[in-house]
Amino acid sequence: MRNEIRRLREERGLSQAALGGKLGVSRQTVNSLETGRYDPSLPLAFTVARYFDLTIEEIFHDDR
Amino acid sequence: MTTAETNAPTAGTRWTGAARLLVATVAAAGLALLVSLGVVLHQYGPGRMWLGYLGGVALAVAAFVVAGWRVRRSPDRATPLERALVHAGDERDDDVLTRSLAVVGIVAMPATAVATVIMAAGAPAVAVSGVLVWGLLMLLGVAFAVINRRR
Repeated sequence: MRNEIRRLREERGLSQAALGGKLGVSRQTVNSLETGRYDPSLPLAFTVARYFDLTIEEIFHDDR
Repeated sequence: MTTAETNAPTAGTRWTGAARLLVATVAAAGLALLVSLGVVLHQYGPGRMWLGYLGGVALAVAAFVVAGWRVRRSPDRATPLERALVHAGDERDDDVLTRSLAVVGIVAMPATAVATVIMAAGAPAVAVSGVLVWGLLMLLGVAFAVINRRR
């Protein structure tokens, strides 16, 4: 699933590890999220949205 | 501190007394069971199989201890496999481990059936069982690596 996580992270000058720490996940998970290889669970999607102060739909884009 | 930050892996996480006691009890019971199986092998097993078995147990325990130490000391530098070994992974680590175990589970049924047929045909049971166990363990390792890379 396409998403804006990388752009949002870079706008805030955060490393993947730093963002992972904020979200409670590993650096590898942040990388997998950004590359679209891993889709987050609903709780994690809400955590990401809350962190960036955006809605889930503004961050994650369903390509179907 | 947000909920996510409190859940984030941190170095030197403190365990409660009850958690420590539970982990120590389970670990001791598991170790006692494994050593007991070694004693049974020593009494009834062929050749020096018990030595190889205890060596394998020691290796597995050492791997678990090292993984647990690395995860507690530097959770950000621990690998997904280490986090999975000590059940300290995030949701993606759990997903990778679950899918890897599912692959092993799917293969285990027909593999056991084939092993049974081979043993019924006269092949030595200990050798066939050993190949089956090691084969499934290797499959778990390969499946974990592949799925971790693809997820």
